[in-house]
Amino acid sequence: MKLLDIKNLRVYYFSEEGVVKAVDGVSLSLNKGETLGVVGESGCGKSTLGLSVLRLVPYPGKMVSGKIFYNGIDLLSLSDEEVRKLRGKEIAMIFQNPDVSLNPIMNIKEHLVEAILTHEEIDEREAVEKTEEILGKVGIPKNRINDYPHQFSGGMKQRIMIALALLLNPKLIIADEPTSSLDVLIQAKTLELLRNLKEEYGLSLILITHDFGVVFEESDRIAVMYAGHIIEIAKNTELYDKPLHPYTQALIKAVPTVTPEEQKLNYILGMPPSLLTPPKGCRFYARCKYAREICKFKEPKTATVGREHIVKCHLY
Amino acid sequence: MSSKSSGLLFYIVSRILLIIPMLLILLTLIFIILRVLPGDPVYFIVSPQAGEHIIEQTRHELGLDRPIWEQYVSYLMGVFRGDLGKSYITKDNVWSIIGRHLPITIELATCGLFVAAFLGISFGTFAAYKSKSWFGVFNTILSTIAYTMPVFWFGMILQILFAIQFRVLPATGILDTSLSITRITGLPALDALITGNMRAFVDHVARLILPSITLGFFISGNINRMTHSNVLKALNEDYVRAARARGIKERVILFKYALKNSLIPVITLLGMNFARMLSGSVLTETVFSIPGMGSLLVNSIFRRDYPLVQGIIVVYALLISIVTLIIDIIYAYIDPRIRL
Amino acid sequence: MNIEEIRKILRTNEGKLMFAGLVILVTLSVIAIFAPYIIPYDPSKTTPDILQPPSLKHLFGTDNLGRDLLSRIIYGSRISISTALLGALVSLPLGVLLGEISGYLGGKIDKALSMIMDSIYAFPSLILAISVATILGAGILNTALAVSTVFVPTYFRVTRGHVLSIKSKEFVEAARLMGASKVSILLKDIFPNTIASIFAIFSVNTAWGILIEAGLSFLGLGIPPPHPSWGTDIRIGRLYYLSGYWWIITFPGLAILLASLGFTFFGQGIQRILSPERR
Ligand SMILES: Nc1ncnc2c1ncn2[C@@H]1O[C@H](COP(=O)(O)OP(=O)(O)OP(=O)(O)O)[C@@H](O)[C@H]1O
Ligand SMILES: [Mg+2]
Repeated sequence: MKLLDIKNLRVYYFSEEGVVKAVDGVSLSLNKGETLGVVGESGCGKSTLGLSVLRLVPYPGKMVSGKIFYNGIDLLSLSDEEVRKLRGKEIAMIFQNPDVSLNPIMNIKEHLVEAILTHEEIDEREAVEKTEEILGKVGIPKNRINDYPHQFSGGMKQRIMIALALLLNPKLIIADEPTSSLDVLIQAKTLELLRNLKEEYGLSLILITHDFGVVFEESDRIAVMYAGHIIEIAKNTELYDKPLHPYTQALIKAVPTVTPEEQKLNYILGMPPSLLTPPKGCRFYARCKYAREICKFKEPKTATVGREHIVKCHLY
Repeated sequence: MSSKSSGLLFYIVSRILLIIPMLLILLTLIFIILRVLPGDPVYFIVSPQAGEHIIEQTRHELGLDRPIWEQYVSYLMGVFRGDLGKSYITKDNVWSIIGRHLPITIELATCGLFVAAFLGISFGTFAAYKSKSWFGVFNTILSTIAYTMPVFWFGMILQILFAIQFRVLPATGILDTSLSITRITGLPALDALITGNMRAFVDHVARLILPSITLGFFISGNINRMTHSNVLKALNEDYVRAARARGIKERVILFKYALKNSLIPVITLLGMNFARMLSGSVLTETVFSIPGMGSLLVNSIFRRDYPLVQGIIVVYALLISIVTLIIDIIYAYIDPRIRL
Repeated sequence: MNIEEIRKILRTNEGKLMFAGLVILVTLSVIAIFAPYIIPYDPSKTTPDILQPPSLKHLFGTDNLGRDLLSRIIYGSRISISTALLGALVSLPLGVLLGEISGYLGGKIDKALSMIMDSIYAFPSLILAISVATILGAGILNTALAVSTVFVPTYFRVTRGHVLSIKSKEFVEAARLMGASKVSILLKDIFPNTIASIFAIFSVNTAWGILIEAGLSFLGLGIPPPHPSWGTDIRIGRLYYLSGYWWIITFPGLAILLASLGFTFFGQGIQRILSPERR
């Protein structure tokens, strides 16, 4: 059975400027034990998609339609309290910026113990033991357990966030650009840690990133997002060898393989469309090499090409 | 551990050193206002028609015939020696007169502070939590009214309502004339408790309620606004979102994450509001006939008791400096980022 | 700023409150300016109808000398508001000038001036005003002067902050390179950029001035009795309000509240709109 199944989800921000259609008809599923990479340019709605799964879309965002099934449970039909109990315990999330993700006036132990005691009825001593164990796994020395967030480096803070996410053995972790605020060396180490712990704990992972390099390195399957739509989903190698959507093709060329100059040359011209007034037809129309008349007026349907290779383009 | 406390000690010492120039500036300011501004303090005490001889004699008694810098130096020396001169009317030592009135103001200010903190923090927090509902706007208006309102008028309205209309609380004074409290610390409530004088204690506390609400509501305006906007800001912080993603309960998020982080700046605000509280207390004491520093100041102005007026204002400056220092130290103590 | 932006501001809560403040201010100004034509009675004429409760004849009742309170409050708006405006205005040039000098020169002068201003700011404003009023004596001009002393630091702070933030900006740098003198840079380039913020502070200070004037007059240190001022009216009412004549203090107090609320909402609205977070 699928662990997570998102069906035709629409999440809009009803802002003062107008309605921002950040996630606009997304369907996606995740198998047990799998790592799914969600990749796309900044502002295409990746974070919004991730937050929807935890029902944490901030005001003025609203889930307008669609369904999200977690282990067969319809998440959108649960009460607030029921969802709260799932958060951290079943589904955990790791955010982009570890520097601001910890409460500055609570020390590390307080953070972890609080999370444990929120979900489990054990005494405080056991909770502290568990805290020390998990911190050991992410490589934070025991003697720093009483230190405050500002006393740690960015990389360490992100490892603490990983510890917080793993703490209660959730089945699914959503990692939203977990390494993009870290420098390259620490990025690699953190990703490796995450990969190893994922194996050890038998987790499923949704890895959100704008970095194609990272996504090919880490994921089993990849979903490409563009302007609120998912435009292509395929197995890792399949997507790399046989990208179908013109946008994916352009992106793969843009992956920095040799030098930054080459990357620049291959970069896709133009900007993604505004999500306030998305174009009627294909959202990639304005930047597409293969654009035809129909692309301008008609939104492409999703087509399944080969085994589990889904694409949203009039070419297929 | 020891390095931590020595860091704190260093911080405190450096703060104390910073307070000294502030105090000097305030004392100089007072000197300029009372001696250098046009207007001769002598006429404060004797009328201009009193005759040359008496005027000159008074001028000499007050030391106002000496060169201005000499007056300045002896004024500063006096303050630092703890000598504020003698009342021109009662001939009592100014310090000892102030000593009788200051505790009463401190008591009122403390009660007012509690009322203000309670009203401001609870309304501000709730308004931030419900910022999307009507309560958010209502609270913005309420808090603005609180600090743009004439305090003395609000006190009078409370008197009309609770003392005249409903007759539940006394209107003025700090103690029924049939009762008395033996003076030990000078704080009437505390003294009544120490001496086990329960009737006086109850009567005194009942009389403190309206003035404390008056002063407290006035001060609550700022605290309310600051709490409101800080909690609102904190609720949008990434660490709050991360805590929600861990399933932390909303109540815990509101108090432990949003409010606690917001309170640190609110404490600084309390320090800045101390000055407003002293201003407010002058008016509140006048309305409720409370014999504190404010009433003393107003009375001594009308009795034209120049040394006493000067002494009271100097004591206000001392108080401001001390409270600024205390707030700085508390601030350092609660914020882990400074504590190191 | 175009129509669209103004509309957007007016849709926010702050914008609405600012608009409400503006409406209050315009109404009060009209009342104050046309006071002689709209008062139903002579505000200082004593009549035998003393201490009358509000009625159709006397909407706000009468005071202890039988004077019509509504007329006194309408007339009092002139003195209360103009004293506060004067107080907020007199201190403006000094505060702005010191703020510009301090921010522009920096270094030790800046440190010393900031310290002095912070200390004055930390001192209770009413007590400072009381001290000045005590020495200068009662009177409209003296009250305005007493009120003005407490505002110098507010203008100083906002100007200095502005100067520091724009000092480094390119156009000032360019002017300096072109050999403009310090004084002309201060006057021509920096001052216009701070004008909006200073105006906001001016409005908030006027609100505060109304309160200080009212406080001084209430204590008997402000506007002397023959002139109708809201604070003085409440002072007169002190002897009567506890004997059941509630209207004698209630209405002047509401007038004070309304006026200071108007200036505060308006000034704070401008401050919000100008605040960097908003831009
Ligand atoms: N609170 C909000 N109000 C209005 N619009 C919003 C809000 N939050 C996000 N958006 C808009 O929704 C769209 C999707 O935002 P989202 O943060 O999901 O994108 P993202 O793909 O995660 O981008 P990034 O790579 O920058 O994190 C963006 O166009 C953004 O401007
Ligand atoms: Mg994002």
